[in-house]
This record gives sequence, C-alpha cells and structure tokens, in this order.
Amino acid sequence: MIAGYPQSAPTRSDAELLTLNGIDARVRRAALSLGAREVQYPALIARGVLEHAEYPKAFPHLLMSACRFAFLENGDTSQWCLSPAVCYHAYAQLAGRVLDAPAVITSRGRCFRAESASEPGVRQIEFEMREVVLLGPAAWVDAAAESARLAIETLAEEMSLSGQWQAAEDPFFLPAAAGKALMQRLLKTKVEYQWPGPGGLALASVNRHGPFFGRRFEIVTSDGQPVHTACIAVGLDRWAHHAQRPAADRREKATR
Amino acid sequence: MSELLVAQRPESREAFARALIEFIKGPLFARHGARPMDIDAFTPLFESGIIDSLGIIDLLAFVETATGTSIPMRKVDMRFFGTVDRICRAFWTMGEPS
Repeated sequence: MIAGYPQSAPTRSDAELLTLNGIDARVRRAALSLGAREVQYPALIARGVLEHAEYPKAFPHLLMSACRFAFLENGDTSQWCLSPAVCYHAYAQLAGRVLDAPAVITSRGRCFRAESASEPGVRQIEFEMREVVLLGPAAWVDAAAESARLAIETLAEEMSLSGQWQAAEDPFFLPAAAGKALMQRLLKTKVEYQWPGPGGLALASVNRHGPFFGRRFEIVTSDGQPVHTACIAVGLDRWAHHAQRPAADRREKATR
Repeated sequence: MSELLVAQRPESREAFARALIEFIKGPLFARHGARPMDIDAFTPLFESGIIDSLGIIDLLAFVETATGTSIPMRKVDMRFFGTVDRICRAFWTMGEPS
C-alpha cells in the first residue's frame, strides 16, 4: 500500500483480523441463539429499495451511489447504491410475504455512509455491521428486541466493553425531520449502547420501527396485519477498535 | 407558529393544563389535520398517535413559551411528556414555571 493513501476502512490481518472475526462469531452465536437464520446479502442495494424505505428522503447526506466513472461528470443515473445498512435487504427479500411465524434474520455486511469526517474504528465511510432483524407481531418484536439488547450487554461486559444504554435519534438531514428525531427519543424507538468515553460512541443500537417497514414492503402476519420490525446493529469495527486497546487504556478513556 | 402559542403565561398549573389541552384539541389538531377527539390530562399523547412527529415540535414550542424555559433534550422523555398531567408536573412546579 502507498504510504498515506486514504482508506475507507482499516486494512486488517493476523491478530486484528482474528479479533474482528472473533467478535462477529460471538455476536453471531448470540443471534443464532435467538433463533436467527443467517443470510448473506450483497454490498450494493437497488436504489428503488431504499426509495421504498424512504432512506434517500431522510438521509440524502449519508447515501452513496455506485455509478460508472464515465457518468460522474454528467450526473449520476445509477440504479445501485452502496448499502447504508444491512436490514433493508431483509425487508426487500421478504416484500409481499405473509409470515406465518415471526422471523429472525442475521447478516454480517459491509455498509457505507458518506461521513464528513472519518477516524478508523470510530467513524468510517465503510464499516462492517452484524445485524439481527426481527419481523413479527408487535409484542413478539418488543420481547425479542429486549432479549437481543440484554445479549449484547452481556457480550460487551464479557469483553470489558461495558457501556450504557441511551435513548438516541438518527441523523436526519432535513430540519423538518426534527420531529421524527424527537419522537425517536421520546418513544425510545432507538437506543444505543454507548461507550462511556467522550462523544458517546455507539457500539450497538436497537431500533424499533413499529409497522413502518411492514407497511412499506407489504410484509404481513397470518392475520393480515403489517409486521412490526426491529433491527439490532452491532458495529464490528468499533468493537474491534476498543477491544484491541489495552485494558488500562480503555479504563482511562472511559473515565475521561 | 407564533399564532399557535399561548398569548400569555398561565397563572397556575391547573390553568397551564387547561391551556395545554385546549391547544392540543384546537390549533395543534387543526394544523396537522388530526381527527377531532376529546382528551383529558391523563390521555396518552404519543402511543396512540394523538401527537405525531410534526405535532411534537409544536407541543414543545407551546410548553417552552408557556413556562418561559427551554426544554433540555434529557427531558424529552415519556416520563415527562406522556400525558398533559406529566407535562404539567415536569415543567410547572411550585406554582411557578420550572
């Protein structure tokens, strides 16, 4: 590699790679214990899927397009985007389906968001997430999301990455979406497991969407009601970054 | 939004509660095209969708104007906003604005 050449995500080998994969294996095991089926999704996602989910409307500043280089100067007409999260694939995969039983999907994927600044292990344009997606009746989703939340907390404590759960909101683009952010905070539809150091870096999040994606993608329960959904996202790069720091260093950072 | 806000600060917590209910049932519902319905101090405002993501901004503005204080993000919580009664208890204390 050329010295100083910018990278969208860390290059890893040997111990660093083992650490990242080891963390994912533990989260994956926790997901499977919740009854998850593992699925592998592509890195690109159809723009139409994201439009259906209203992602470009809410987060145009984060969404990255995959277009031919030759088209760059003439405006991007690509139908493909770089996946900003894993769970959108799951909603598209199940679109139009009737779910006779609740569904749990887990997937590890590369995600891309056009962050204005990047710092390896903290905020990256390209990062890896292990997600668990829950689809089913409201009460079941709430209970399963709570189980997943506790599993993440246990896992983090086992790895000396103890943090705190905090109500949070997504970084909506338009000021008009301020109300959505307030509602997320108020109803605690998004909670983050935050590293206790400065800035409250999120190691993981639990996101409850109500029937929004069930309605948008016409995924229904056997009684015809739109499914409720939730996704639990674990930022593997951040876990690996903090796990690799010496314990004393971690303690100092957390108390700063 | 100024036309939706209180003309003057209510004189008591009870008056604040009444003003808040009238604000929600009147200008707030009208502004966001909500179906008219009766509410009281203990009606859940959010779980049932009475107030949505547009309405909450107006609600916050109303409470801030009525109490003369700005609401910190840490207080944007159901413990303080779930019902009119909780809003009044959280933001109107000791007979004075909080």
